Amino acid sequence: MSVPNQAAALRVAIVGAGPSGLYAAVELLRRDARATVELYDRQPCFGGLVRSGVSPDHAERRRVSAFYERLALASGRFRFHGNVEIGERISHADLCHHHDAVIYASGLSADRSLGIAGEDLPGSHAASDFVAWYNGHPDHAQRHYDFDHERAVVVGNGNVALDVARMLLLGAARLRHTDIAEHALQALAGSRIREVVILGRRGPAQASFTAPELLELIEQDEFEVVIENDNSFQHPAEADPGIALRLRLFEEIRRRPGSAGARRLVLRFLATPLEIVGGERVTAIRVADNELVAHADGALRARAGTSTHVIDAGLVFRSVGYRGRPPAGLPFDAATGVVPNRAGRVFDPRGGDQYRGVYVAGWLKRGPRGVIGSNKPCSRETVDALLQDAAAGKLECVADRDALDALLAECGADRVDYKGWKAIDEQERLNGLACGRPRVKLVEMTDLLAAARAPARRRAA
Amino acid sequence: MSETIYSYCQYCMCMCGTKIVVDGNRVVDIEPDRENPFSWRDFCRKGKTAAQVIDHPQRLTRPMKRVGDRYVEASYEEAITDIAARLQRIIEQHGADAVGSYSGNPLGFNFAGTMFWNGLLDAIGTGNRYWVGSVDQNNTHVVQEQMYGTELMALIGDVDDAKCFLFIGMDPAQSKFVWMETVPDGWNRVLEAQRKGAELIVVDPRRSTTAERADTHVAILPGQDWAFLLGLLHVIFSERLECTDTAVPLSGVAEIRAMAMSAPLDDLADRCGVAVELIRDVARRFATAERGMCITHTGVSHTPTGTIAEWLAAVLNAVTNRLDQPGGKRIEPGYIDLIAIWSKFAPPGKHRTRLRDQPTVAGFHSLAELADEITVPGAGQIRAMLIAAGNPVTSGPDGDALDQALSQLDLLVSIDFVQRESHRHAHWLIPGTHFLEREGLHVLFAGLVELPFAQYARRAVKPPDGVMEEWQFFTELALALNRNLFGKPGVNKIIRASRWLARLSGKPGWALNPRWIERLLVKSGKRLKYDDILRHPHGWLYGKKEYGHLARALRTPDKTVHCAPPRFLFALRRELTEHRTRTSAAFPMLMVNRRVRESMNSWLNETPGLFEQHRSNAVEMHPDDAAALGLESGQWARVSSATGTVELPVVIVAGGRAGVVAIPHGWGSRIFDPRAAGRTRTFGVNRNLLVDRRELDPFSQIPSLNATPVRVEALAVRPQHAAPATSAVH
Amino acid sequence: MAYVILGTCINDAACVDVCPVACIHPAPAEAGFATADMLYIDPQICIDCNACAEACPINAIVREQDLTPKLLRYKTLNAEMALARSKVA
Repeated sequence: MSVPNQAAALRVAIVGAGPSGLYAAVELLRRDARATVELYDRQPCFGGLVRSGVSPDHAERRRVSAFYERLALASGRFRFHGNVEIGERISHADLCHHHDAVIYASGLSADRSLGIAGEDLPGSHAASDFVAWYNGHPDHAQRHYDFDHERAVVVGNGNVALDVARMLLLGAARLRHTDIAEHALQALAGSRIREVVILGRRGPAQASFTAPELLELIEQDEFEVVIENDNSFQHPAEADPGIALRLRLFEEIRRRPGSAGARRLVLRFLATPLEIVGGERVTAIRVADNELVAHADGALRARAGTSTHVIDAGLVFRSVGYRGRPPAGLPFDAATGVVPNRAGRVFDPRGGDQYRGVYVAGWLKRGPRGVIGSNKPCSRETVDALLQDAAAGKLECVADRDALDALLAECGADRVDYKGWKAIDEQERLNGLACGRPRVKLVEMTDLLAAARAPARRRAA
Repeated sequence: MSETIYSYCQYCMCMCGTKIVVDGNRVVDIEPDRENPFSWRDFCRKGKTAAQVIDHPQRLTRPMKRVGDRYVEASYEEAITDIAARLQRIIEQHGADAVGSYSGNPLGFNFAGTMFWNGLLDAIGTGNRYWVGSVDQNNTHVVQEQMYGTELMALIGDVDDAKCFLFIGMDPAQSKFVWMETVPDGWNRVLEAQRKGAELIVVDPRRSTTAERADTHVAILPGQDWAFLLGLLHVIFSERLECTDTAVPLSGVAEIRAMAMSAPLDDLADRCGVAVELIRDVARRFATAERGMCITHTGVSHTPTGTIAEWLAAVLNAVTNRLDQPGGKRIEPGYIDLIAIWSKFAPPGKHRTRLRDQPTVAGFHSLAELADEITVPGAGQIRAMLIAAGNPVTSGPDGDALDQALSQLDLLVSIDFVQRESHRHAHWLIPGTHFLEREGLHVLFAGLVELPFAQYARRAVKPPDGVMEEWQFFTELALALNRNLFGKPGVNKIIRASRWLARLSGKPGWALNPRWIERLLVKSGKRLKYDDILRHPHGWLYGKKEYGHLARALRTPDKTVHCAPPRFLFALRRELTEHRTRTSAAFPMLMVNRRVRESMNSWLNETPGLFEQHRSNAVEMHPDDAAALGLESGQWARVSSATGTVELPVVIVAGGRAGVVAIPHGWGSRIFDPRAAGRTRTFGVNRNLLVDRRELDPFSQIPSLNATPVRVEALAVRPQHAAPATSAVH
Repeated sequence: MAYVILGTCINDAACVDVCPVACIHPAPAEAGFATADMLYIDPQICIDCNACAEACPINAIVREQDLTPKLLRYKTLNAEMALARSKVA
């Protein structure tokens, strides 16, 4: 039916099978009817942070990954290459050589540190590592957490802090119905934690908890929620409807009846951590009380007051943001924490020259901000730039498809294709079926690879 | 300067009121008109994106004439002169029947176009008329003619008061309840009734969106609705659950009772693949519900026994007293005598097809016969075709055969918006118009809608410069042929005289135009005044829902509803004595069709604003069938029948019947760019290529677009030749 | 009656693309999308067409009538957010 077109079809490598990589893939396949996408991920699994970041009690959100996987697949111009880390057997230069363009959507994985004493003590952890652990990320499966103290402290006022707190407080009976990693479920089943304190430097109006997460705190009946150091009175008539809504929800939390003897969550505002205290391991955290001061630009900033408190705790999680490790071969702006780019086109921050055929999307491009769907317009913008460059003749691919296949073959048998990932997915579901859970994740790389190689089995009825 | 125009969407029978914001001759936005008292709640993306269709990049804005492999622009004068001369030659040499015609669904929404199309065909005098109804609704016309004495007795579901819904082969969650009836917001009203306690029983081989909502989903074997329905009647008569004192007089009940009782229930259950107990259960629930209705749509009509099933469903309603009762099915008399006027538009013709000696249904022959009527030589062979707003190669069975046939014509003229698959071999492409560019009162709709409602469709923008409306073109062609429009002596003289008067007086409205006929028809109904309708820009709800009209509307000689027409009884008896399995070792599965809300048959799928995700059709498979073939969602499969083969992506859908695959129709129709030869656009594949053009329902003459025996094979790789699933310009 | 977006919303905005009456906010092109906690349906404009629910990749949109008691709160939340927007606009 079709008339062959002279110009070769675009072949694009996307690094990272998380939401921004998938959004970019689907957008590209939709916009260019002939383009092919090769999607690489260092994990044998799809999803990125949708798999290893989204909280197990919010597993509905994980569906987004399968949805866009299917869309990409339906194009027939899409391949997955899992368990392939760029920079190891395949280099950045290899990618550029074998594709017209490369989109890095590999995200940010390192956490930001607090920069206070005692941060390296046993018992002081990055929330991101903890999240990856309870979500069964193979790199984090061997971690160990002691839940033998009655209190844990989470520093930070974003949704990740709330995720961590819920995992610590929900209790095994509830968690058993989620896809939390088996090792985490067992460890948390023996937890003695009764209270989690979330520390925020500023007040409720400045916190980054989103309205649905706050509503969830109101609707749940697993634990009590207490607000300390509330300064909401400073915002009698908040103009921003989003903030006004959140303040109303805080008000509802405040009015929520307490339940004696239950576990509890303390949202403690206006507190800056000064020091994590302990000898062999964490025993407490010392915090300063803050006050909010209006600056010339109108923004309210925290100023440490003179009074300090010590909060006993056996665990401290820092959840104050993510930081990037730049992909090898790409420039990086340490100040902004992103790869220097213009609308997704990577450029050299010194000379200002564009890295031909190299693009970024997602957190690498704009920093660790937004929710899953925020990556969609972001990836769209990058794909726009890429297609414009393609139309302007700025992209070229040196090697042909056979050369790419030869290169991929060099990755050996450990490379996991889409069928391999589906086999993992199916195995995990079957494992869950056996014990009445939605899914039991495979957390060891050897198990993941074994599942990927297992012959396709008949779908459970 | 922007201006707001109120009208209604004319893609489907939902007739959603629209508020159209226009700036100059450009549509800025289309929204549902919430002041429309009748319909706007079914508004969807089709209406939202209607202006994108006006701006179609391949739109025809001038007549285009084929010259060798190319098309060149021509004036209307040249087009009409040439077409008339060639038609004239063919008629003189071979007779009027050598000119064939086909009209598609969009023409049905263009009342002026429909009237003048019939006028042109009458002028030519051909009996070779084909239309889209023969791949869609003809079974209803046959059943209505046999049972009520008229081919058009639009029975409309009275959804709010129903206590039990039995939906067979319909997916109102997608279709918005429209087919041969319009129940605004009907699906939501069904759900509301369900919330208040009504039962929803859905009979469909697939797990449709509607079936998802059902209290009971009967995943029936495709093509066996008749057996299921006869089973229901068997139980109802056996258990004396029928109503003996119906609101509408019935005849033939004893005959159908005897027939139903004599059919063994376990045999019927076996035929339709539904457990005896489930048949009993559905029968009891339906018959004992205080109020209810059974509705059958295209899932039933597209099967080889679609007429028998449609009849049995109508009998089911009749004997349980669901006719003309609240919560059942009723008719809306409207403001004209629809039944009388319908018989003028679709006269019970005497014409029979040359090769298979088939009569017309609703005035037209079956599309399935068209290819052979063109290719088989002999007296009366079709040598020229006029296709108005139609795409029969994609809409009908075995499009390859029809495509071949169309290529052999001496003359093929298409009147349409763009050059579609069926117009590939056209000698002339005549531009069509969009409903946003037309105005008029569709008086036929008055009797298909749920409530006494009238609305004059207003023009939002003018057609592109110089483009004639369809009715104008048809009139010009009749004049050029020097054959009286409508086949009535003197009409052409009246047209010429009226034009002369209009020119003389400076009043263009004095020249004959469709408004004359609309006015006459409204006047003949003696209920409304045309000008009063015009005075209601949002539409006019001119009365209340009433019951009690059906008995008076019956056109049977004895003024009863005939429950046992001998032709149907005979066919049913034959069906019961034969035991045909549609599947075979070579074709072990059955293909069915499905509805997609954004899709309007074959003519909108390329609109950019529709289909945000998948701009393609796919084959939906049961998980077990897919697993047996090692197929995953997203992989490609080859689907073959005795007639053809198509290749398309797989989507696994649980909850339906194993052994059944669903593929939506309307896809795979190419859009050509006559200005740039070789450039085409396609989305999806034409699944009707799998459908045999010879296996027809003997009454409706509808081909087996459903329950088509097929084989599915996994494709290791996506086929190279396949049209890309997402979008394509090549 | 209207549809309601639940708190599981991830701002994917596939619903925005399919809504025939543009009643889902903030759309990606509108101010506030980048910082929106979730998207919401304006119940005054919604025509109950179900297109958004079908398009949502994570099934985070339901008919008002189908809300479980625990989720009823999202009905008011959607309405409140819509009201707040109309006041700003």
